[in-house]
Amino acid sequence: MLQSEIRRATLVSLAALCGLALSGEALAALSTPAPELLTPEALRLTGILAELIIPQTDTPGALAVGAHKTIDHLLRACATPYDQQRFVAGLARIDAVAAEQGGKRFAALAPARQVALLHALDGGASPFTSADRAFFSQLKSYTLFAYYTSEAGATRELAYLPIPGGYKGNVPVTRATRTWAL
Amino acid sequence: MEAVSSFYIKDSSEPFDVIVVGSGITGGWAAKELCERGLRTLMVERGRPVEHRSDYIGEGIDPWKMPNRGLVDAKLSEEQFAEQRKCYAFDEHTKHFFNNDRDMPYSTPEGRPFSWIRGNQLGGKSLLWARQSYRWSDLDFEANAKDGHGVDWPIRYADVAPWYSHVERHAGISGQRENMAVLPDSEFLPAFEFNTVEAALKKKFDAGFAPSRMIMGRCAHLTKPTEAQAAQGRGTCQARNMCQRGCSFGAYFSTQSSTLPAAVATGRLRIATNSIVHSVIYDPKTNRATGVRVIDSETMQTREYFAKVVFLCASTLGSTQVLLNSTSSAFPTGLGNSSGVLGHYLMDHLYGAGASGHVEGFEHDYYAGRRPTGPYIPRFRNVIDQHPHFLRGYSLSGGAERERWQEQAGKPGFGKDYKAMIRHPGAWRFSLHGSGEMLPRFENMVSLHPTKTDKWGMPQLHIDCSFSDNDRKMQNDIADTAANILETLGVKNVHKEIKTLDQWPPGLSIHEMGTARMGRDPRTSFLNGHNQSHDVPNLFVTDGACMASSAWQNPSLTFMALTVRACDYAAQQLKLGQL
Repeated sequence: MLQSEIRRATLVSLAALCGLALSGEALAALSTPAPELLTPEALRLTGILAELIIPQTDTPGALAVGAHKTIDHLLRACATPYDQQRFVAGLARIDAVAAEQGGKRFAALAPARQVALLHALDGGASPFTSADRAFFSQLKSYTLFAYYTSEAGATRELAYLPIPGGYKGNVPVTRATRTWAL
Repeated sequence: MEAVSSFYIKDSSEPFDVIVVGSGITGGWAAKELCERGLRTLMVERGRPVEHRSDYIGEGIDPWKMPNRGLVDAKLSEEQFAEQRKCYAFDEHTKHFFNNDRDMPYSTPEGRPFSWIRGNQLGGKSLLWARQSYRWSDLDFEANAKDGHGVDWPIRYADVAPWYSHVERHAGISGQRENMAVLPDSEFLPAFEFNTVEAALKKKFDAGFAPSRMIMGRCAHLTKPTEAQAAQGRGTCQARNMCQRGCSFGAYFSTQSSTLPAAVATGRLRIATNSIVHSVIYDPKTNRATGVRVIDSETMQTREYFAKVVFLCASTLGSTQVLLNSTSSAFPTGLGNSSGVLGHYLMDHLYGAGASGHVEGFEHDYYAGRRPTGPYIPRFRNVIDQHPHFLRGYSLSGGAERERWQEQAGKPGFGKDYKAMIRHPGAWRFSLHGSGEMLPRFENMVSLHPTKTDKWGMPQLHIDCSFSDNDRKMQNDIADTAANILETLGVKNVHKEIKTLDQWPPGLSIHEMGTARMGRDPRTSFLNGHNQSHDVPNLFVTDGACMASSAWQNPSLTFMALTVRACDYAAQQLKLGQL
């Protein structure tokens, strides 16, 4: 499949998934020219998966904050060769299962199929194995790390208080309360 | 700052009153106390200068502005920080305050790992410490005499108590008066608060486990600076709990925030940085230390500094390394080592054992701020009754927090609901982990490697240290007891943990103590009751090397108190012409 086809399929599926028009930021994020460790296809797949994990809601999703690019960078700069291989192999495995079951790579599947496949992966259901499930956990760790340490993830999705000014041991939870980012 | 240019020196033939080797917690105190007693003091530091505030380069940077979001480059970490990276405080914001393992390696025997975590800059590990501050009691000072492990301490609590007060008033210790015999009160600034869950569990604990009590951890943070502290430019703790990045508020005790400004203010302090002490110079005719030999870390050139008195405050193993390398025909195995105990009786604290679980309810309670301490249960084992399996005791510390995104990756789910779940504070978790006393044993020792040297030609330290049967049994009891306490308090899904040797080797608690111990008998100890060499009267060692036992408390406050006490004694003796 041509890269442009993958990109189009990705955009269609993401737009459908979010029920929203994609922002310019998200569009730009998808067309990163030079990943550091992953192949362009693997980077794109990472972006799709990250957005499925942390989607755009009333705050930006993983794609809009460039979580996949952060993941690619952190994999190259800070991960062990073992973790790098595990990540790359995990992505390949998702594409292989997608091809086996749906005849297409993951990015080209209909959104509902993508979600169903991830549910199977998350639950370790056949054909996925415990190793595949461990990869999904790794992917989620990276996605959460990249998202919640991003500016939007920390300050818009969560409550960011770099200088609290002191410690209060009893603060009531209200509807507006959000988890502390730090 | 006008003073900067005037107090940093390189070459100097000036005879100083005192040379202080090291600038960490004890070096800073020694410099302050000696200068304030009118003595011209030279502080010799192997690392680079670090200026308060301007050199805290990792402080106050949002995670998204850090190149690796706080993570350290894998190649750099592997090549230069292979040991240091095991420290909980090592990250992208703090890595420049840790020792470079490639340049300063050390060796351990096969199968007996030891983590030697080091600071290597002006301020030393005072910039990196965890700031927990507890007094010892006579239960601790009498322990060796009572069970026969280690030599008797030549001092008791009454000898140190006024000096604890002295350092506490200046450093600033936050805590609550409790009147507990096992843990004497300090001079306190206000304590940090318990959160709602902790307060509820404390109530149950105090009622169910009396006379034991859950208290708030005491720490060297200014919760309400005194006038004197404010006058030093120190401010109130902001509860950021990112202390190891440096604190421009000056709200936690460090050399830079607290002791160095006081020493500099006297006009009597000089500092030689990038100056690696190779050895102490010894004059056999007078039986006195006359100065130190130094290798310049940048130019590799050597130089010498001279003084009437030498204080070693170069960290537990750093000071001992210098002493072992200071040989002469009078002291062929290390300066002042007629007893043969130099390098022996190395201790750390037993960490890595504890328990944690979930607390149900309290969904509508949260907290604000990142408290730099937490609930603490002082020692209760072997205080009155004797446990059948092990000697000495431990504290438990921990606290309650609500889960955040870090705890969610391993849980099932993804998508909108998953994101919404993470947006809201998660389940409450409560944990307790131990800090146990490690017995002093002759076979836990350091020596100079016969052939290996570091980048500057200093013989490498060979560290041979392992846990004893007593240590292991205590760790088992820590995990069992922590779990039992949690279950009794109603905590659910309690999970016990004991870290393996590889996960938590000796040294990683970063409370290394001993190797130049104090004692009453010159034949079995290196230092007397004033941290003074039995053999060489003008040589003092006041860092953790002096410790004859480890007790169970975080040791830095005791290092400070012993240092200022030794400074007071040395200044008096110098005046009397006795040194």
